[in-house]
Amino acid sequence: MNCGTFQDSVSDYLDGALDPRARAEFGAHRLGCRACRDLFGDVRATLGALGALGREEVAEPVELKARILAATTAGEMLSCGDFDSLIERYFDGVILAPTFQTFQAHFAKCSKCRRLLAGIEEAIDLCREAKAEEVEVPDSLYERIVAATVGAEEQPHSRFSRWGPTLSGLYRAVWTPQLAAAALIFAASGAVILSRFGSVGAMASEASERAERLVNEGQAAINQTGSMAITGIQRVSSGVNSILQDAKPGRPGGAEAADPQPSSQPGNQPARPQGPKIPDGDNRSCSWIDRNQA
Amino acid sequence: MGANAALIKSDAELVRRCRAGDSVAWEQVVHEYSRRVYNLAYRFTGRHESAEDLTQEVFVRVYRSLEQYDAQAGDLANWLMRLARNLVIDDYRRRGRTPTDVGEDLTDHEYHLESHLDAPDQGVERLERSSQVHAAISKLAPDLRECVILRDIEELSYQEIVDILKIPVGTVKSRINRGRIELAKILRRMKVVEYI
Repeated sequence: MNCGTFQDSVSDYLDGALDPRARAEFGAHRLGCRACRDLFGDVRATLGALGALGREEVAEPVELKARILAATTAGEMLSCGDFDSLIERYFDGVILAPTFQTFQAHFAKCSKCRRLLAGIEEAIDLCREAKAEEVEVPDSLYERIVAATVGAEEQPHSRFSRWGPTLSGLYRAVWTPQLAAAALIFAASGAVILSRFGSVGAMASEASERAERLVNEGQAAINQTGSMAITGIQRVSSGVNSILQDAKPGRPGGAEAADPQPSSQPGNQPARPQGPKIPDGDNRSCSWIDRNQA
Repeated sequence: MGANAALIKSDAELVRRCRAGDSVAWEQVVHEYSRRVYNLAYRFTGRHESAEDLTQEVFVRVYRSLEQYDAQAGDLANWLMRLARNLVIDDYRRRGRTPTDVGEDLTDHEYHLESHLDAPDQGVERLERSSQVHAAISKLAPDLRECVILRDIEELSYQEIVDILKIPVGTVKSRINRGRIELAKILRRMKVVEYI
């Protein structure tokens, strides 16, 4: 072992970390080399001095504790992490008084946390503004959404989209205060129908039955009126026939009366047909009607 | 801390009350650990003023990190001192591991030493020796100094030093050995080792 290796092995020797062979070589060199022997003695003495230095404690200055406590006052004692954890409670207003004092003290001393709190307050204000101001949806948005989802070939939807603004305008108009009364009356009518008939279907059924009864009564009345009219016509027809038969032999004006053709002579009024010729018997057809038909 | 205040013995309870803003609990923590932290800071800075500033910074950081403390993972002393070591080492490296001229400051050391258990002569001699050792440590190269302090004064294991310094264990062992030899040579030149 040379002097360089000896010096490199001093600590390992003192720590007992050398193997037996190296330890023996170390001891042999120490005995043979005066300089290394002296150096080894000095190192051991130095370690003793260092150990003593570690065991003796220098008393701290009297004022040091007070200085430390003053430096770690409320604001200092609250760490930025603690401040962060209190921010939510601060905005909720649930910080207890002592904690709030430390919160305020830290806020006053820490510019980073001041900026953080100001940023959060600004963000909250922006959120409130955004909530208060709703943006109008563009008219084209619906068509764009439909085109992007079900596709542009959905024509019924497109047609509806054209009517959409109109219908929505109508919808909004219906719900104006002026039409509230009408809506109320309509609702009341519905309530009356429901209370009296039970349902709209029942009301319709009863209305249908009433209508049928009215039709039947009307039909009966018409039949009765028709019979009376036929009887009257038959009487008139028979009376006219008897008059005509009586007027045929040499009576003036009798030919004219019998002539169905209108007279063209001056002073004579255009003559209407002289009434229907009612055939005898139960034949209800009139002669003038037959002519017109012919 | 008030004399009448009952000590909180459970670490979990102590930390929980600190986090809840209990000033008495926090005073207890400061009272129990400020000296250990201050001594650690002093060994790395070599100046009382710097050690005070660093100790205050450590306790502010400790309080802000109390939410990370898990009583199941270990006691408060280990957790707090581990955090303190990391912060002191960070500060040490941030300052460029500049060796501190401790000569002037060490003369004030007498005021802070608790020497009431020693005889007056022994106290003075011990004070002198401690000051010289501190001065010798401050002359070490920064890489060697942090390893020697952590191993031979703080008495950490190699693995704990590896975790703090984030360097391989072989490098740690090598730096500790070189630091010890270098410190012994310095103390020899200072004629300190002759009196140990």
